[in-house]
Amino acid sequence: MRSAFFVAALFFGLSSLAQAEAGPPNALAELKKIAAAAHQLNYRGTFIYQYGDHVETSRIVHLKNAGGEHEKVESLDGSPREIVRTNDQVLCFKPDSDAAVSVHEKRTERIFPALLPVQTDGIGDNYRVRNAGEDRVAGYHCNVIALEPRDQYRYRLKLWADRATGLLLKAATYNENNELVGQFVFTQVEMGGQIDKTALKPKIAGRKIIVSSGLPAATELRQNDLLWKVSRLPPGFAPVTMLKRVLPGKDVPVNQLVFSDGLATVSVFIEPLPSGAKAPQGSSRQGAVNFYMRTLADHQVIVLGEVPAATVARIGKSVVSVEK
Amino acid sequence: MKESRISALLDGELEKEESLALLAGPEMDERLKQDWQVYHVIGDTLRHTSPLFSSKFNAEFAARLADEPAISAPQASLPRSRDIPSPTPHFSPRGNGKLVGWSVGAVVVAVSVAGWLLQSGSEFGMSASNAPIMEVTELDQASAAANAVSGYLTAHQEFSNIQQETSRYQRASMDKAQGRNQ
Repeated sequence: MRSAFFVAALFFGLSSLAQAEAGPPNALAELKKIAAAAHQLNYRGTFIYQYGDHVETSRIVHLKNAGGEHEKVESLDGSPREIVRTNDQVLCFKPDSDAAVSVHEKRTERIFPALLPVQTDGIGDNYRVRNAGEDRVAGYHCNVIALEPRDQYRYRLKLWADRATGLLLKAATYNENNELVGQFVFTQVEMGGQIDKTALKPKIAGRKIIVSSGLPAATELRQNDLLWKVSRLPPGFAPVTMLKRVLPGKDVPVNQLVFSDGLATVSVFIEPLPSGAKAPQGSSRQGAVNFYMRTLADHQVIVLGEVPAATVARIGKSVVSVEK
Repeated sequence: MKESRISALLDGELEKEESLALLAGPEMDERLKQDWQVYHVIGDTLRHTSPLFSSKFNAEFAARLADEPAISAPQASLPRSRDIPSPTPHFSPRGNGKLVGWSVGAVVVAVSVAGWLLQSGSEFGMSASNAPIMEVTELDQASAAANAVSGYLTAHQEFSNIQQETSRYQRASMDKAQGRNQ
């Protein structure tokens, strides 16, 4: 009994020592491999996305060939929904009525397992990237990579990648109190092999197709076009785009300013308030997303993103009007 | 209007003269060309006749795959030099002679990482515990407040990697709003 304990203690000691020496130099290389694998490999599987007390299940098929990337993501619960992507073109299929299917084009969103930006070099500036051991996900042996934020303005991430291919099989986000904010997990996945062409076609096939006309109207702006500016961005965040766009249910176009540190994204919406209207103020949260709202010179400012409450609040408080 | 004419054109419902006029006319601007392409992709997809996946392509693809054994069968083609961990704790020699345990080792690392996380604050000495306490309201997904922000959430998600579903109620109202715009 005692010797068993001793062996166990020795074993624990040795293995943690060996892991500690496994060192970070290849953690960054592993990130590169993870970023590329999601685009370069063929795979099909089922993953869940969990945040708060919600769980969503999706099926994904991804094919890479000479023509580029082809992908279908099918939502398995709730209302039927399929996203068919051909390189940058993303079409969303939904049943509209008994005989019709509605199709609308979306801007590309990063869909699991392609969560990492193609360019991973800047990630080390904002996160400490380290090996966090090994694990098993969906039956595959994984390397675990931890991304520890260098400040309080972003969440902590953990990535589980297949040791052989680098495909991301699980990704979890933790908040500043080390609580799980949300996670994507493959429950079943096959990598490689032939992808049958029928697997990439939407199942929601109706007789009549209702197409909403391309992307919702949006115009890209430059900072000079804007009457607003974010004066104190948290470190590492940089502008991605600035848009003037029409949102469903809104009479007037809103400005959307998008910022990212490469992994986390924050949007700032600014829109005129109807005179006499009272807008909500302060911080709120929904699932993995934090909101911050305030009014500024008869305008409403809404900041949101999958970042800590402190980040959206700092950005929101630093919005100032620009003298023209 | 233009869209329904394009749709009619695709479905072969327009007279020849009308089709030619539409194709050659000023209406066939950049935007319509894009729509035209989108309609084609949708049509191909729904008719299951996508030119992207011809039988020739499948044959070529199969041939390419045959040349890439490491990708086509990752489990079977793991290089022999890499130690494949077994699900039971064991010692396995690595190239550098280190001893590595797998599953128990993973537990140790998980624990030690968690411990490290708890100990470490940020570089600016602002750990979670002494960060300013913020009043954050949790939005109930079915609430009017949550509904009010759903449009922003959807617009934000075009750029982010979260795929948080707006609630059923929000979806319904979003869909209705989109329907009105059509």
